[in-house]
Amino acid sequence: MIISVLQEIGDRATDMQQGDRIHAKIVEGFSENEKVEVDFSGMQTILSTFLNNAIGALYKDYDSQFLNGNLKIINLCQEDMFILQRVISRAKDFYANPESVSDALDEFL
Amino acid sequence: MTIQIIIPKSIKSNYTGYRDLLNLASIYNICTQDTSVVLNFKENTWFDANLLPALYAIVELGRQKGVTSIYRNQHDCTLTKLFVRNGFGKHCFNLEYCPHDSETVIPFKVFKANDTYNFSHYMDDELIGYFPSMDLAVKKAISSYIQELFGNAQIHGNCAYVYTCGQYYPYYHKMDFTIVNLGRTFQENVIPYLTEMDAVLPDNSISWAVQPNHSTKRGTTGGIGLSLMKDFISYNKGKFQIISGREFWEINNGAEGKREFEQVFPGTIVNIEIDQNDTNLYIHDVPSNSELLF
Repeated sequence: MIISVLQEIGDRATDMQQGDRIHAKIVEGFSENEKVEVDFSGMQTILSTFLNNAIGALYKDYDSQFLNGNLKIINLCQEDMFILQRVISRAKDFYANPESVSDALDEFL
Repeated sequence: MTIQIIIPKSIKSNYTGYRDLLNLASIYNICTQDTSVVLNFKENTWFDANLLPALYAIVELGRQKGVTSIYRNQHDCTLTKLFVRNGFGKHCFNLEYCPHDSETVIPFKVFKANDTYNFSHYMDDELIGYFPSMDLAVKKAISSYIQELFGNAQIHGNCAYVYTCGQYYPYYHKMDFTIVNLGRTFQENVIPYLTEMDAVLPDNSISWAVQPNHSTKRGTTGGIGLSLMKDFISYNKGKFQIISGREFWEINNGAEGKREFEQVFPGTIVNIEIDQNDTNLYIHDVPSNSELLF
């Protein structure tokens, strides 16, 4: 299953609601036992707020092994891939250890 | 009742300039319905154009409770010419709008807070041309960091509108751009969140919020946008300032600072200054093996 972000939400991925729509499409593919490719070709802008909800939120229900085997990101430029990696790293921590949030926050102080 | 406020001689994007704007906000705060406020700019010789959204927000605050604001200045002075050229005068004081093919003006705009789409176009059309000479993909990345700041107004500020304006200063090769909202302050978001998390409370909420992975979103991830902008401005040797409630935070030419004001701004002002002389080569380091991305 290929999800064209451009076709689903237009050429600017700038808010959380758009992220929710792509997230729902990915989950739909997984629920039908399909491997999913998310195609970012033709996108003008992709914000972390979008990626948090579209991709980051997948860690709530799926682990790295499942995602590496069933989800592929294609046609994402290097700059946006950099943001996606931060989103993924943050999501892994957030959904794996929600109880440790308080400790992590205190580290700053 | 009519009151007259003498606008200080100079309003710049620094602590003193913001303090003067907050003092103005405090006067509006005590004005009652049907008050007319005469904003007398006759002694003002410099007003950073990028700070006009903050002035607009203060006037708007008054308008919401029936306070009328009147602009007083020489008709043909530099400031009045700027006001009619960048659209601020039309929005704020109903002056005639005379757009000008200027190479330095980034127009004043009022956006609905959820209008991320049109703000994204505004970035491409009006701002990106003032970024330092760099690869277009990197310019787009920096543009996206600014768009994250805009998005924060709705996500965290829960406000209805966002006001923006910018100015390119060719002599200094710097571009200043400011985003203002009248929504919840950083402190109003951060303190309840950290209290809920049973975490230690910071002495400055903004300083906490700009750290990587710090976010007050519940049940979902965040905390990337502000830290990305902070990183870029550090490399660029530019300026990134946030004023929210009584709090002031900035990173300026690599040095981080935080202070408090006596008065309160009932929302948030975010100002960025980008140094166009930046000759750094920006490369986003990403591993080549995308097979194990997750």
